[in-house]
Amino acid sequence: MDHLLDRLERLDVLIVDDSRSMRELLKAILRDLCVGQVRDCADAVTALQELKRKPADIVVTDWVMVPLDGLDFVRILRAMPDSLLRRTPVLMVTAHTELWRVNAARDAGVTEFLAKPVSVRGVAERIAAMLERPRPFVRAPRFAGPCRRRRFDLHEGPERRASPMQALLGRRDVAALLGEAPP
Amino acid sequence: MSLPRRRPGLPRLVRPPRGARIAAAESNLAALAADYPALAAETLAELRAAWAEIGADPAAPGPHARLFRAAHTLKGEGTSFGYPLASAVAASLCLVLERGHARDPLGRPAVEAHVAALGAILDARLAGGGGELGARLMLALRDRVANGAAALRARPEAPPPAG
Repeated sequence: MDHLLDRLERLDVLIVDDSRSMRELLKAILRDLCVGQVRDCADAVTALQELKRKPADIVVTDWVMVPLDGLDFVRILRAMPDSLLRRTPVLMVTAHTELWRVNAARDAGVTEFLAKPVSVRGVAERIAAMLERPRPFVRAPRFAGPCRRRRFDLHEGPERRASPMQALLGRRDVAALLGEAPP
Repeated sequence: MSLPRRRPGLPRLVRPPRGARIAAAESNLAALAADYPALAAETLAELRAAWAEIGADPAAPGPHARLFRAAHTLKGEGTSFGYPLASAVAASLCLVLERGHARDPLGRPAVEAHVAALGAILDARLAGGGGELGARLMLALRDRVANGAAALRARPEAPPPAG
């Protein structure tokens, strides 16, 4: 817990939204959660320039914007030559909640999705998920972005291919015990 | 008392900040909600301007897109700021616009009513569900939408072009 709070204080988050009220709302929530630095842009083109000037740890973006919408913004971000920028976790906050839109956002490379109305708890949970359960970055011919599968291993029985300790505790616990990166 | 053992293979729980920090943030959010009508003034002005432009030139595509974007913005943010009635009216407006009512003289009264209702809600700072007034407003809007849809359905089809 303390570890997560420390990480929030060191975070630099960029908000991209053409609505002034949503920018103010998200800024207030992130600051109240003690996020260290919160920047904001009113459109995606300015946001791309801002990210090139100074990368952010997390980008929070709206979907419906002009001249570039949130989906195209993420696609451009994921295609950037700079690997640091390309891998920036993106939280999409939108009133579009249809399943096909969620899938489209995922396929464009969005890391987490938050449906409006926005709540403090909703933002906190998505940020925590990005920090504590980061998805591996995939770069394939037709997709670049966070792995589209959740890394849940719901197998409840013993893992026959694992070591006795792994079979007992699970791979993530073993990695944590050994001080290694989680699998 | 022993703690239940976690099933092997399940990831550790993601733990967002809890307790005092969340409560403080929610309290600050409630304070920010008091400023919502002022914060939304820009979007409301855009909604009214786009609707006025459609009135002057219904065929111009730009104002239709701007009207929908403004309605969509109000739909998404109203409830976040404690104005669910504004969100509900904006959501209804989005549906009406998606059905093309703003492009047809028979459908326009429904759009006009939604634009006026959103202006009234924000100008009067009608937070929450709006109580009895809010319920009456939603019923009246539903009637307008139903009347518009019925008028559009009842319109005789245009005769096929000669020749």
